[in-house]
Amino acid sequence: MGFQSRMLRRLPLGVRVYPLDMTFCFLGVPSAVFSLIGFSTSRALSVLPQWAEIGWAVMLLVGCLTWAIGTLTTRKVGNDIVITRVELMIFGLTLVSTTSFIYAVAMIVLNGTTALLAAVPLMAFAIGTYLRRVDLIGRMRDKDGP
Amino acid sequence: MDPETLKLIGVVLGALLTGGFLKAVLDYRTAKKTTQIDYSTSVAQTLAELNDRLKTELKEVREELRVERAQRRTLEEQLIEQREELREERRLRRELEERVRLLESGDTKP
Repeated sequence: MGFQSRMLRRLPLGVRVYPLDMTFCFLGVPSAVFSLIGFSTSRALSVLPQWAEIGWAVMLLVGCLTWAIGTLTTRKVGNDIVITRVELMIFGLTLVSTTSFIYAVAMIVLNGTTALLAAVPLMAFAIGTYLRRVDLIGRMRDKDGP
Repeated sequence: MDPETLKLIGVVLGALLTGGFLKAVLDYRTAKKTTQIDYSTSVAQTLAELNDRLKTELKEVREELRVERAQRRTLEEQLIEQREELREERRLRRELEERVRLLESGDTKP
């Protein structure tokens, strides 16, 4: 067994099975923290009222963390991969999806078509996370398991 | 874009944000409830399956025990018959030895 495989085996199952989820979770954390402590704020967010700006940062932080925690509860049950705290994951995905969508819209509102290059990936991300949320809820209702 | 419109859009986006938050909370509550129901259903299902499996295994073990007892009884009967035969063989052997001894000593009386 190679060095990389050995290292991979030491990681939690959630990270091994859903590496992209974990990556996206941690991409949002610095933005939220910097915005909350006032270290670095985006000009696009200035469109929002003060309370909504703080709410946006809190929602992004909480969303990313709960999505990460939900992903980390991935367990192997028999031959199936099961997320035991799927409700946390759904909660996080909804928050992240909302904040991404609001941010993309705010960018377009403030900068017009020049912001499209930055706003389109964000909008795609918002749609992607929303679809993942819908898929998780659907699977849970079908009792198929996430 | 004039500041008034921008402010209005900001308020709309803020309202959307709040709506998103409320939706997330609602999703969380619904999902948690569904998971709990699923969990209790799955626990009950597992217990029922376990019970069925135990009953089947118990039936199998009882059947095996019955077969083993029958085999044991047959073997015991065979053993008793063999002992009987052995006893008979010993008795015949003793008689033969007695006759041979009498013949060798010249005594014709049995």
